[in-house]
Amino acid sequence: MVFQKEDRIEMKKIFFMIFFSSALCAQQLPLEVPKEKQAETEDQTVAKCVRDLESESPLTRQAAVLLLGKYAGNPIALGALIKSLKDGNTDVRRSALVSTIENFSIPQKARIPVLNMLDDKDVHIRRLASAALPYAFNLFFGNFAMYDEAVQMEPSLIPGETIKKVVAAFNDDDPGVRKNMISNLSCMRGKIKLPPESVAALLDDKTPEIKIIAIQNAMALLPPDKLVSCARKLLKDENRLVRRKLAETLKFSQNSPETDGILEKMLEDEDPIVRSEAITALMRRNKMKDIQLIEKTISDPETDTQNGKFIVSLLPTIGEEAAPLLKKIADSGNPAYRALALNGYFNLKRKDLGKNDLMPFLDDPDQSVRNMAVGRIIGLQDIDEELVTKMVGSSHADVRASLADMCGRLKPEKRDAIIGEFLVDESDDVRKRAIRNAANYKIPGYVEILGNSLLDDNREIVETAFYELENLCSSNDGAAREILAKFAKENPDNPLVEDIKILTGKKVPVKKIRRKNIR
Amino acid sequence: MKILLTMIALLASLCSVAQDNDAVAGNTAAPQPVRIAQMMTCDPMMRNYPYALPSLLEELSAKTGIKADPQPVIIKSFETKDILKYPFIYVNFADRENWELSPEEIKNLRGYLDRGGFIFIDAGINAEFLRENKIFGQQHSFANWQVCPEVEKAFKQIYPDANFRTLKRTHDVFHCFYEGLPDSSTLPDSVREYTVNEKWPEGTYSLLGLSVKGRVAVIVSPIISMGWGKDSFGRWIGAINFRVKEGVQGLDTRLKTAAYSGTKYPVVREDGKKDMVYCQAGDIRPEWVSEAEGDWRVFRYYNSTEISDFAHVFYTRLGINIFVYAFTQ
Repeated sequence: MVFQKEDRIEMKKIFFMIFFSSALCAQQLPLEVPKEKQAETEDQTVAKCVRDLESESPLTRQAAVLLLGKYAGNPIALGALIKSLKDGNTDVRRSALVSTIENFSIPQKARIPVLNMLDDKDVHIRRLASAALPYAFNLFFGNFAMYDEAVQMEPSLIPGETIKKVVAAFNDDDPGVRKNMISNLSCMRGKIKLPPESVAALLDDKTPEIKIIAIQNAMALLPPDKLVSCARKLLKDENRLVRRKLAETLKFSQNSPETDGILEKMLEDEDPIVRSEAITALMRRNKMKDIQLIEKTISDPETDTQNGKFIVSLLPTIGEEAAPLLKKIADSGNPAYRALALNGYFNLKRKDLGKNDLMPFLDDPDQSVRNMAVGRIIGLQDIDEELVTKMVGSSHADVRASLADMCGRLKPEKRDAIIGEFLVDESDDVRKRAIRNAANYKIPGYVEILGNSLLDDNREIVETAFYELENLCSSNDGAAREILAKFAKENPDNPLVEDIKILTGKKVPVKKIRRKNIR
Repeated sequence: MKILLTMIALLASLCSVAQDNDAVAGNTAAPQPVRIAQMMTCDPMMRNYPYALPSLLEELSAKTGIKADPQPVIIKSFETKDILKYPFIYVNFADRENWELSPEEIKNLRGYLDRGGFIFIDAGINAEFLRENKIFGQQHSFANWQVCPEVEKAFKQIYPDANFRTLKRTHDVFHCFYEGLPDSSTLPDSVREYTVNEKWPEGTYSLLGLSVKGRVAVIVSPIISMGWGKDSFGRWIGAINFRVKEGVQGLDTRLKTAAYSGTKYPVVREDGKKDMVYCQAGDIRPEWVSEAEGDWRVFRYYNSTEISDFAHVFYTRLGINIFVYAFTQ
């Protein structure tokens, strides 16, 4: 794909607007002024700078590369910058490097020269070069101007000497360089092979942050035996964040008796987050049976809630032994875990689950716990009188609303009585469901009930009632038409009247009516 | 020492108030941490730098005697009287879509600020060329010495006679907890020199303040929350590209006649003098500058981890200073 110059400028502008997160700190309020006549052309300026690069004065050469960076799209300027990356003066090389990489990209021709700077004697140059690795390796890193010429760096295009420098930089003397290298490892995947000893050295780095990044990005690259020996060392690390990262990473590692052993050791860790990570990892492997330790961990206020939830959700995998703990959590444990625990408990007990197990939870102050109980009641074969009485009399509207939805399973007399009661319920939600079911089951006087509901204060109830009446009209229910006509006559200013006239008068197919007045 | 004593006194008074309340309720639980409000009209999931404020509040609790709840209370408007519950309100300028204040908001804010409340407006200062889209102001800490017109207009409705004024480099906000710059020894010479001498001298920054009854009650800054976010492993979230000005002998001669394809802007500095900034076509970043003193320098953009980390530390220390200042002045 080839873009015109204008397109490139536009796209570059958009790119900078989106991605440029710079600490720009010029001190001013800029006001755009008309562009004055150019003093010289770009080619003239670049030519002068290229000439300056031949100077014996490092300052002159540095001035030249500072300015050449402002014409990065110019091939002559780029060639001169690449040449300056090998300048004998450190300041010139560093300036040339910044000029080459400051536009969030590295032109194709400059990529190998930039990588070669990873063994520069100047630490700042090595830091800059190692931070720029994503631009050096990636096919396309935001630079629209280079899009048409960009090709992903193929392993075969990287000289062996450069690969050696890249690998060596992972164990640079400077922690900043090492951190950049290991942070950017993913962009080198398939192009650079990092030897196990380099990974092991990073996992044993003096800087905890580097260890953490190495655990995350590189530990999985180790052969199993090496991974185990490194992990054994890391589990004794004095930094708890390192141990947390280890536990988190091992959670997703391959099962083996050795890694299981390491995770079991982590159960003794002083940090509750490490312990909880180890517990979840072992539970996933079906290797965790110590219920007491699980209880202790999830009761620890320092345990991360998400981890705690994960542990509770995995508890049923232990089997019947976990049932008492699940019940205990469901009854009085951490509110964040109760509903989950109850669900797990019900799953374990599903064969023997009866109304007596469920009814106490209908009074629970936590709606998610009540929902768990109601969900199981729906699954019961028989909804008996005692259960119905409890649900009808519940002080929680969600319990009554659930009963309204399941009342079709009751005997007709009971069903109609409950719907009748719920039609005057204090909860809008319960009334809405009752109205819907009154129409569904055509309880005595249902058409009048729907008609009366058109004057309800709640917009959703009016909408539900009108919807049901519409349906009845569409099946030519005379009573429904009569009720609607009467309503329109008695309430001429009601916004529904317009739609009712269409419904009752012209017999327009109901689906074509836009109920604009109530939607 | 004086600041420390003030903080201890403040915290002691907060504790005593909490204890009094608890005594009434018959509760002897420990006092609750201070809760901060964050104002936004956008969807909280869409707010700018969502991790920033919680990370800063955690850092505030860890490093100072102020114990703050890391989760701010989200408020959708200043109309609610609930704002009186929170001693500090943080607003990212771009998180409020419309800065027209309703009459209720004007009344509430006046009451809030008169009674000692504090508001920090982040990204409420940005250069005119960044005002086309609020997102630009999230990515540039362009140190203009004037608040955004929307903010200016909003606060004129509350206090018609008060004006936002530059907080001088000697102002307490720059010295009340952290003083000076973070360790800059890891920076390259050219970056360190510019940062220490010009960009953030003595750890200062371009802040503007609005005084109410003799105290600074509102502080406005270019975006600084981009430097606050940390992940659960203590690593900074997001890289900050760092702009400096560089010049060497002989560069003047070349820049005076150098070709440029974009526009040039006259710019007014903190000292009132004017520089001229030059741009290339298609790039909203300034490329070089002709300074009032007659020097010419280029702008340089460093994408390097240790420099980004330095900026993160600086912005976090500045954020903590603003909180400590608000609670102890």
